[in-house]
Amino acid sequence: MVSSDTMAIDQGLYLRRTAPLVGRDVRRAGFAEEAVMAEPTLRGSGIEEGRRSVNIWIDRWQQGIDPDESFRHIFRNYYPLVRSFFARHGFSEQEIEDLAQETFLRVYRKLDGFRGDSQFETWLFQVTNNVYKNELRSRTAQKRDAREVALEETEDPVGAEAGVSLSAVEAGALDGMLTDERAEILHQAMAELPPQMRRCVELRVYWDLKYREIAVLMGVSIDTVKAHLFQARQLLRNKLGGYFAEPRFADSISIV
Amino acid sequence: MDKPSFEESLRALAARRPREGNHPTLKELVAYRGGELAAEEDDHIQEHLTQCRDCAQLLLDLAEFEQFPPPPEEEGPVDARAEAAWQRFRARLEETEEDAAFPPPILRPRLPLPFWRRPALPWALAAALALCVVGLWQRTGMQEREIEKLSRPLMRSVTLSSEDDAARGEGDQGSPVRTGEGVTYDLLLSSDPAAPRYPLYAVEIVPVTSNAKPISAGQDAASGEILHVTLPSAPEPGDYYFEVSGIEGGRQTPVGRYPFKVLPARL
Repeated sequence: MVSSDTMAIDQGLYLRRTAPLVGRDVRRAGFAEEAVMAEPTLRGSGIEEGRRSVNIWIDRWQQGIDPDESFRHIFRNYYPLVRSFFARHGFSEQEIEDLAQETFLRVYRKLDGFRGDSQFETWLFQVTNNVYKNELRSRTAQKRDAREVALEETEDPVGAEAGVSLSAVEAGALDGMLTDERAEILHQAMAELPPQMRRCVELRVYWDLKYREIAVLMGVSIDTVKAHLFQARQLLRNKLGGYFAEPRFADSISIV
Repeated sequence: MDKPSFEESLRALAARRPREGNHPTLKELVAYRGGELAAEEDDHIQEHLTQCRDCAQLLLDLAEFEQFPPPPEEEGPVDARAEAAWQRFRARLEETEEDAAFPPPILRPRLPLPFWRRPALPWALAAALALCVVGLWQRTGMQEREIEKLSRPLMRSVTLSSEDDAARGEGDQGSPVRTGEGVTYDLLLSSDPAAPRYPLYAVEIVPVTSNAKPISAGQDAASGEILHVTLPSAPEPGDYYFEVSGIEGGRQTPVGRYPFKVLPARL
């Protein structure tokens, strides 16, 4: 079996196009573990090759060499990624298509200004995210300007509240079941956890995130996340067993 | 009694926390992912992610892009949906490029021009100038008429109508006039149509340079603007004027004076 460190370094090498393995790359390299564990080297070469190929097409497009064909390659490579972004944010099929088209139109117009200071995918994400934010703004403005409000839209009175997803209604209901004494004990127990372990627990419990997602957010490997959650579960069970039901946020079997 | 759920209790506890409003920028999140931030900033962002679902999702989306593996170029399977989307994109791009080459007229709401650029101003200035010119012209005309009116009594022309050679002359003030009995003068009453007209006019010959009494030249009606005056006798040489009065309803109203000079008879 390939050791965790070796795998991290391997993946780090082919996850980064230009920069050497620095900073969070080393820590986050384990992120792709689930996806690439089967054939890391082969898959990694493909990624690297694909990135290099996209860079070539970008260069060709910027130099005006067969621009139509060059952009076609870029479009075909990244269209699924852009589509999945809008699909993940709950747009309809037609909206996804329109927003993806709008995104690539912007890419086409701005690609001249891309100098390769960052990874192309990071740059593409910024463009995509801007299209997404503009769409949200436009919808908010339309809602504000609309005189009549559909019944469906009134069913989520706190949905517009950005930030924490725990709504006021939900929070109020939960709050009723937590006595001050228990709250203090729980707070104390959480505060005594190491910071990264505590954050892993919070991300798991608050947002119901997967291990892979927590690993991305914390910049650690999935194994680390699993280990943190397992240990936290044991610590909290020992401390809070007399007050709360057994935590369920982690698998009961050890992965260490 | 059942113990409360740990997870639900933890969420309730989280709801009591004040909300974190200081969201990191996308640039900061990119730097965070690249491990380019100081440990303290790293710590702050991680803590924020446990409190802000939107920022957590933004970071997950960013990671999705940065981890995206583009397929190797050579023998990648043709994604039919991506290909169809490319064709639509190409068509849209061509349409956009055509639009850019022949842009439609841009309809913008007309903003009020500053007053000095408004088209009415030149017209207003032209009208004002025209009014000034007309005003000056009228004023000049009025002045001329006023001068004429004021000088009318002294400037009446006296024209000899007699065929008599001895009496030929001009009656302007100061000009020599040879005159004598039976000589007829034409006195121009007024060319102003607004001037009063009388059915009958009385004329007296008034000496200027002597104390002699005025001589009546009789009464007569005017012929249009002209009043014919026939001298009853030959006056002595000297300066005279015709004193003309209008007669209407028994009342006599001065009309004007017409000076003339009588010279000694030519030898």
